[in-house]
Amino acid sequence: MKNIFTTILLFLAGSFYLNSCGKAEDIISPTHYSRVPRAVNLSISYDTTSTGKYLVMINWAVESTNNLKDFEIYRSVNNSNFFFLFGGMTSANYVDSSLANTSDYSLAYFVNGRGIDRFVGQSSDTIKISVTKSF
Amino acid sequence: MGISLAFYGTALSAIIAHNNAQGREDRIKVLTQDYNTKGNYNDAEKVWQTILGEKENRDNDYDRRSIFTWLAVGVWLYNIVDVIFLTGDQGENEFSHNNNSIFNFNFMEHNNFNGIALKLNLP
Repeated sequence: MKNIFTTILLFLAGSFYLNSCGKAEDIISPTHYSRVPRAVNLSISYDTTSTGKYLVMINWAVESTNNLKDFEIYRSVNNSNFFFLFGGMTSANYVDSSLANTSDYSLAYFVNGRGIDRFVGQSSDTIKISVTKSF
Repeated sequence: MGISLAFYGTALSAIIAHNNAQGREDRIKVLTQDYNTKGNYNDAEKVWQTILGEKENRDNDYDRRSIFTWLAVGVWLYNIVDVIFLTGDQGENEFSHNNNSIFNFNFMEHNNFNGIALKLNLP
């Protein structure tokens, strides 16, 4: 009888050990959501230049400038893939004057903030505009 | 026999769940290192979602481990209760008396000693 109870105690001790060892470790807190401020409230308008080009003006805002170095902007023309257009802007606006005013375009843009630590933050919402030739 | 199978089944399930949880713990560590090296939001978000998925699986494995561990404890205790209180005394039973074969190999219990016995029943 004594041996049986010793066995029971040993088994229970083993079970408690198995349950207590290897407890779940906490995972890290995500940093990428707030590491670099996201560009918000994008607005867009366009005009034409006297030299026959479109002048597309994009403005945005950021809620803070913590760890913010500059911005980069991406563009899609006529629903094609987005391509890197320009980077290194330190102000919250950009003027795209690279398209000739000779045909109509459907344009879309989004902006990424880049951190001082070189981390590229969350993309802004995409903003679209259709420009029509005036000549 | 059924109790033994239930015990070994639940204990094995607990060990497998523990092993899986440890594996997922290691994978989370690797993914965390990967996460810390990502240079942009999109890549970091992708890894982060994988980490969250692994965490959920790991937590499920830990839950499974606890459940099967306590099931094993329960089966074991029932086994002890069964032996002590629910099973009648079978009395002493020398296995060689029930077997007339010349050669016999079996487990044997004598006083406080347990062992394997090889017995030759000579004519």
